[in-house]
Amino acid sequence: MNYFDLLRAHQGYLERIALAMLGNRPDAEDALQEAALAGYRSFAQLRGGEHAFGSWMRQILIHKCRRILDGRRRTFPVDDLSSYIPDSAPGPDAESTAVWEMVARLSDHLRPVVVLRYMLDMSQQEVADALGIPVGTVKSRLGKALELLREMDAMARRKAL
Amino acid sequence: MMQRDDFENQLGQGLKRWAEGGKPSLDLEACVREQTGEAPEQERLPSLRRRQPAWVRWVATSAAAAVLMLGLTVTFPSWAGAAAGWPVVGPVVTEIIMKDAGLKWAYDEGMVQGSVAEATVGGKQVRILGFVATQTRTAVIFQVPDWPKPEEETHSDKPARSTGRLLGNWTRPVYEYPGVGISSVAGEGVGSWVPQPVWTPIGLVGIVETLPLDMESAPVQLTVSYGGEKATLDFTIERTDKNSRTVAAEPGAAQTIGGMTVKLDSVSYTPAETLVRYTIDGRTFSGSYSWTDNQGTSALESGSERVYSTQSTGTGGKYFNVFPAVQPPARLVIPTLVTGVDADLLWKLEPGTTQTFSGITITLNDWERNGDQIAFEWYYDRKAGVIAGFSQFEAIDAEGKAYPLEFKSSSTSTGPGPERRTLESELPAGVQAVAVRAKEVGLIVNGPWILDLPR
Repeated sequence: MNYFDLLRAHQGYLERIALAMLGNRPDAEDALQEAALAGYRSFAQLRGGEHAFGSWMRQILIHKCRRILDGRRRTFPVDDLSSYIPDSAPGPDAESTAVWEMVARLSDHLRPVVVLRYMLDMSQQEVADALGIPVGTVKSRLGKALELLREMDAMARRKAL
Repeated sequence: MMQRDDFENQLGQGLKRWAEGGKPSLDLEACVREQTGEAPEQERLPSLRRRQPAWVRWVATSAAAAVLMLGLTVTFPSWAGAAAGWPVVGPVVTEIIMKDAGLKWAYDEGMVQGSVAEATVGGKQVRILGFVATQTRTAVIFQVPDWPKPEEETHSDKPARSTGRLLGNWTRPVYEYPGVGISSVAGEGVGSWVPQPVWTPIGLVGIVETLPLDMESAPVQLTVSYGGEKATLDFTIERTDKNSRTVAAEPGAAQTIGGMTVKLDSVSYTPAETLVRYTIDGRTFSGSYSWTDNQGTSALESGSERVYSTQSTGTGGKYFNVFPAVQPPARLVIPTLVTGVDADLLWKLEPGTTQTFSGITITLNDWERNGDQIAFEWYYDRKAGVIAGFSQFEAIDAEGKAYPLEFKSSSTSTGPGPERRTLESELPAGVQAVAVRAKEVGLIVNGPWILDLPR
């Protein structure tokens, strides 16, 4: 079982997870590279064979993404109003691309909970543990995120008419 | 798992399909082997370049993207400073340009003086005024001439979430502004970021930035979107700091004051800017704070000239400051830093309650709640030069249970009178807070740290 062979097999999906969590390609690349290095160094500790590799690497990557997200709040000078333009990262079809473009516009507070809950099907407790926030906060952010996403979707449908 | 509705199911399925459509774009094996020092098992891809503070990889291609005319108005006026009929930036000194050393240089050099390209999306004209490409970033300046003053904006039909004094409508959606993004450089997809645009007498003016160019010139594609419409613009950007050099600091170029050590890393001298990279060892404050009158702003001194930093970025203890261009010999002056100190400041949610730290009284002047939104306002004497701020907040319920608070927005007053600090956050559903706690205080450490720059 070769680490790099397994990594290559999962890399496309991992890149999308990092981009979805962090919202921009440079930070996603940082997280991926750090996760790849961390995975390489702890590969011997992986249990469950190659079938466990995907979920194992995802956990490492999510941890790296969380560190970058936490670090954004400590960067100075203080400017709380920075915003990101969604990165051009099309999906295999128009609908999935449209979903991504909506989710990508969410803030750093809301986007990761949506990604972990709906893309990776994590429970609210698992999302809370992954991001180091209370379950109540996860519920609150999911509620807000869904409200915004529904509005965006409704607006897009009105424009299409 | 709770039952999901149709929208949630479509959201989940769409996100999964989008993720499964991802294709690898990095050579992670080469990155790992570079970091571990192991010999590669296969030929490594070129162009792995370290960026501050981690890695980035540019792959130059010979592809030049074609302009996509999506049935929208896209025009390419000729590059001229005084193009007839277009108001030029010249007489209008914009806040964004003049506060940014690199952009000011470009403006002084006549590089921001007209309209490189423009498009109309959603009924709004968006102009590209110019660009700057340096060691630290590639920046494109854009203008939306026909944009109402902020108080006249009515783009959101959502009612304000609160009409309280402290709680504002901070949930304004990002997509209300025209979106301007750098979508590709030299045919390679990139990410870009846009600080809040500024309203000026010539309309909305903003900057969109991406990472530095890895080549002398490159075709760049911009995406402009508004009101559900999108257009792309293509033009070529050239490095604007061709005559530049980077010099590493001498070993031991460091100074320690009050437990905080500033270590110089390197300096880049460019025609537009001087970039200084350094690290700070010591516990820095995790919260937010601001300075008035350059009190805490880093500066470069060269002869009798003193210039202040126009851009400062830091993470993980590594920082770089951007200054207007200076000629060596010069020295870096950091007047103050802020260190984090553990604290246990607990205010009952009653206006007027106080806590004291290092002899400074911090008063909870007011607080406000609407649903799960909550906001606080504190007053304290910042001019005493002791406390820069406080952070790591928790809401406390009647049982004494603590709930960490993360803040959506913050503001600090400037001007006469005590420092007024306002913070907005959200409580977990159902929590009734009776007190708020801060677990860290930012203490001002007076310098100055003075380090001679390498020549």
